Amino acid sequence: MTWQHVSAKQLKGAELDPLWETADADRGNNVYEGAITPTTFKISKPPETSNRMKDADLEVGRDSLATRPGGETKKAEGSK
Amino acid sequence: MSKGSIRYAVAGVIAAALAASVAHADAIKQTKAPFEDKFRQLEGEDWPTPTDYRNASGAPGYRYWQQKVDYDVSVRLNEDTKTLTGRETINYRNNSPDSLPYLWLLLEQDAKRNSIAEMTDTVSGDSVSLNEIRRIQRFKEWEGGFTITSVKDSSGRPLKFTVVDTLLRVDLPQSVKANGGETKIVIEWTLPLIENKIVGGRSGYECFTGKDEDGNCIYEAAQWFPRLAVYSDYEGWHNKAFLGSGEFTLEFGDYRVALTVPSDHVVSATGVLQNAAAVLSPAQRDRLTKARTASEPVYVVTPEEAVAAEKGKAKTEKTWIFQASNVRDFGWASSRKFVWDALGVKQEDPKAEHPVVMAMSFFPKEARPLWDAYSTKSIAHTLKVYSDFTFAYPYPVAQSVNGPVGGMEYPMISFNGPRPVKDKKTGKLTYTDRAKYGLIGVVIHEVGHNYFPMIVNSDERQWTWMDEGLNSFLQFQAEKQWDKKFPSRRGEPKNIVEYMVSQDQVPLMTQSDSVIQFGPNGYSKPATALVVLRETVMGRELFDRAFKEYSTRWRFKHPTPYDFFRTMEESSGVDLDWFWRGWFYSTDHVDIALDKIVQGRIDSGDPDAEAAVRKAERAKEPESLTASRNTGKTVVELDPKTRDFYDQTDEFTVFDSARKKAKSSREDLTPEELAAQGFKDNLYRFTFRNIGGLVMPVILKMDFTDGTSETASPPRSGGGIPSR
Repeated sequence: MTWQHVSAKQLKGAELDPLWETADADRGNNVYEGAITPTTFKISKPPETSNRMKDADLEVGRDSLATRPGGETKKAEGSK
Repeated sequence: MSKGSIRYAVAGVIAAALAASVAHADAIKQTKAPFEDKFRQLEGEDWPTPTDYRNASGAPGYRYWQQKVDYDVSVRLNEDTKTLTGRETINYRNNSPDSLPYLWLLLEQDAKRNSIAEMTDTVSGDSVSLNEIRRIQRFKEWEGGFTITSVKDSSGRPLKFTVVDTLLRVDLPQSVKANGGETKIVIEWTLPLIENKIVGGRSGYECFTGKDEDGNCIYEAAQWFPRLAVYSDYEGWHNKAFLGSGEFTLEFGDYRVALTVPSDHVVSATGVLQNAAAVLSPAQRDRLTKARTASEPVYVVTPEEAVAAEKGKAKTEKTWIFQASNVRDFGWASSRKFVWDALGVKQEDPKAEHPVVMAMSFFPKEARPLWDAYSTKSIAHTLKVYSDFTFAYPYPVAQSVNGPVGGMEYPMISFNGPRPVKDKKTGKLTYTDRAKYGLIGVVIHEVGHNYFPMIVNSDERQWTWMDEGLNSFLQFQAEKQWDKKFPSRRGEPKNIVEYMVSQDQVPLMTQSDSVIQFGPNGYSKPATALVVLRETVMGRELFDRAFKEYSTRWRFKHPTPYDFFRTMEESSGVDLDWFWRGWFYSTDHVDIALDKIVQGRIDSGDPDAEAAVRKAERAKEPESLTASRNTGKTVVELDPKTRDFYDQTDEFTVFDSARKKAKSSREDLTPEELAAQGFKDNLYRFTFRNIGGLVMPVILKMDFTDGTSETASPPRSGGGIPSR
């Protein structure tokens, strides 16, 4: 399993159970001084939910569930 | 143990929560894959259903009951035959809701006879020790165990009785009525004492009959009278034969014991001496009074008086009378060799029943000067440390007696072994560091047993860890408070590793006689588990409160493991089922590996910057070994006409099209998305592997290039507990 820690600092190495308090049987695999693997994360976006009404190029008005042809998207609604 | 470093209260991490194992043989089964839920709750599945007698929070229930058994005993020690002759009147009060047509008593000294214990004793190795031969020779001429002369009711009518291995069943003409019915029985018996160094056991005599020795003996008596077996709400009669490992499970009661011994003997026993005027000199009684308020141990019987007594052998007898309330057993020791010192120990708890407890030691000259220096002071220290963790010591005296027994506990009295050594040739007196720390450690341990199991009266025949484990944990605490560098044998986590990785072991939740590697299993592992629980899992504040709660709830009662587990969780609010599963129900060991660290950054969305990062990473890789070893020129190098656009650019070259695309996608970003894209911190990802299988908090110290360190660990006090 993998655990994440965020820091502005540059990590040099890490050690499990530094005070010898857990009765860890093999201290040989507790200290990590190997190469730290760099990686770049893209901020993932949630996948768009499937929307059949939109795919059919239809829309509704606020006052009814009846669909009508979509036409141009009116960006104005809801914003100033 | 606790260092001053800042510990971040991150969500604790547990390695490998899911591991392959055999599924439980219960109704609930996951049949689709090898699966073991190491965090599965024990309540409702593995633990017994709570009752009116012991409730779901781990406390005695509202209808909790236990029996009360009072003893009035007279016993005579025949020093020539080394035999006890006794008569006891037992008053049995049946507080259970069941009427009882018969009573079970314990005859544990019968384990030395033709018993299950003797018949199933095995040998190993291909040699025979001198002691083994002496033991075999002794058994040819000596038959240990009780001879029951008579069992009668209170009006003198004989009662039918049957001896079954180390048990005695007495059939009653009429059942003892439920809910408070009482009956009296009178038993007469004889019991030859054991020569401890030959036959072994938890009692017996030792004679100093070697060259240059005074010829006198020390007698330590235990399991010396027929005692009632426990009848409980969860097991009925606790009548499992004594096989030598699972120790004693006994009822509370009041005792009056009259011990008739040679008149020059000094006697130490469970309880308080009732007739000091008849057995002690005025000077000795005066010293005993002074010891009560002294700051250093005071000799009640001086070394000179003891040496003087060794020179004679009284023909007359004296009777020492002791009284003890609310104890589960009675032990005693007698010898003309005894020096006796005493010290009044003030208790810190203002509600203590006995504001001053008399700490007293009894020892022959062969134990001096170690015993003068350390025994009584070790008793005093034990009372202080153990009471801090539990409750005020509820008895008026606490004693340590030197004799043949290496270390054994009884209420208010313990038998302890370590002595200095006298060189046989030169006569030089020395003592080893092992004898010194062994003495302090064993006195702490055996006096400490007053708390577990003499007062918190757990079932030793069934569960060794409940008294030996809890006691060894407190012994470790007391030793470290005696001396930071005390060479403690049990309790330090690193010292348990060898046992934890060994193959021939059983879980702690195993009946005492089935335990293998008895010391590490019954003592060290549970002691270490509690140290880990206190220092690493719960933190001292939560642990100490819960542990005190358990001790107080079950003081003068009979707890089971589930009462302990439930109380520790209910009192602290910390789910510990995973910890009990790992340390008490399994034989897993701790081995967590840190396999890999990844340092992550967030893609900036700037194609030039990202290309530079990728290019720099690629540059760290060595070029093709094959290409680098080829010495001849390549086609591309030799023939300019083969070189084109793709020789002038590479996969890291950024073109305007990419810059335009990046610019337009930036314009589509919300302010929150923009801010996230600008996040510059490193995201370190640590990959752990649980090799040992035991679930444990992962404590991770991170060292940074600027010389600082941070340790991430579960909160030590309060807050949440490790999750997956």
